[in-house]
Amino acid sequence: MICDDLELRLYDEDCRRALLGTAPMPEDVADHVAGCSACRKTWAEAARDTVRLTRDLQLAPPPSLVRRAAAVALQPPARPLLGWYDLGVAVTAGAVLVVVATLVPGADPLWQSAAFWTGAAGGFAASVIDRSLLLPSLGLRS
Amino acid sequence: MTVGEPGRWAGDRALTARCLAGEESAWGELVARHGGRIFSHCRLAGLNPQDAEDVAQEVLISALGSLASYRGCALATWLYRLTHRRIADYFRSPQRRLVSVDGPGEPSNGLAGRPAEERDPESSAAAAEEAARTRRALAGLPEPARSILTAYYLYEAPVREIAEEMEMSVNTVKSHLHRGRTALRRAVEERHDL
Repeated sequence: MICDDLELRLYDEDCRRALLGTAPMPEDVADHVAGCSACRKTWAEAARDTVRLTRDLQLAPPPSLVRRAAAVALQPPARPLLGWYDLGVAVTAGAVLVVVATLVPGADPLWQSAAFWTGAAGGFAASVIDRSLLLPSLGLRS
Repeated sequence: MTVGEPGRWAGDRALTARCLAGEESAWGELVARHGGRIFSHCRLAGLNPQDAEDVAQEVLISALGSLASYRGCALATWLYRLTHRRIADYFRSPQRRLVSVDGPGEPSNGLAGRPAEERDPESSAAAAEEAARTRRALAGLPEPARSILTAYYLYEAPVREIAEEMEMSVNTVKSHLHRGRTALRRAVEERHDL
């Protein structure tokens, strides 16, 4: 290593750790610095600067930022506008009403079909209402 | 703490995996570890305290949403990139309100991370003043030196990752670091000489 090399070598990660005092000086640097007083001074100056800049550029985050950021993690993930969940709810509700309709004496296929579509529409509506946060407390959200 | 070495990424990857698994404490840890950097970056770029907090909040939300795409570098470098881009968007918006990094809203905490009682009030005030002077000097550096010094000293990003981000050679980044560090030292020392 020659003196000019040290100027750029200072910014490698092993040198940064040594400048911050968390690791020993890399061997090649130590060998050179041991016999060069100018580079010893350069190293000492870089150590002071590195500690100071690493410490001084950082401001503490405002407590409100930490609070707001923590709240983000608590929000439930958004569901897509129309998904398999809504379709599943609609079909299930329709099927339930068809079963109920078959129990009614004298029910014909037209009556069963009407029951299915009524149930499906009701189920879909319930799913959308669920999305609008009316039912989460009932544990109906996916 | 120095991040950026491949061995260090293992810790970052573990933290992001815990965040992705929905572990609230992991997210809190990420915010505690990097929130200050992101907020400081915004302030050093010239945003007023309220806007800096809002932008930092947006960066954190965006980070949470895209955490699955994080790979290949230190988490700090990845967050630096997100913040840098969000700040650029901010400066393109017409609502921006700029104040100096030592504007009225700045908490006088140049000793961030160190409890005030560790120092006597006089030396604490002097150190806080020196820290503020350093930040002011950094804010006054031209680009790309300001961004490079911010990434290296604030986010502790390795030179190689900064070089990739800035599309420069490693030696060019090191030269900027060297000139920038010298300029900051002179700025602080000049004040001492007055």
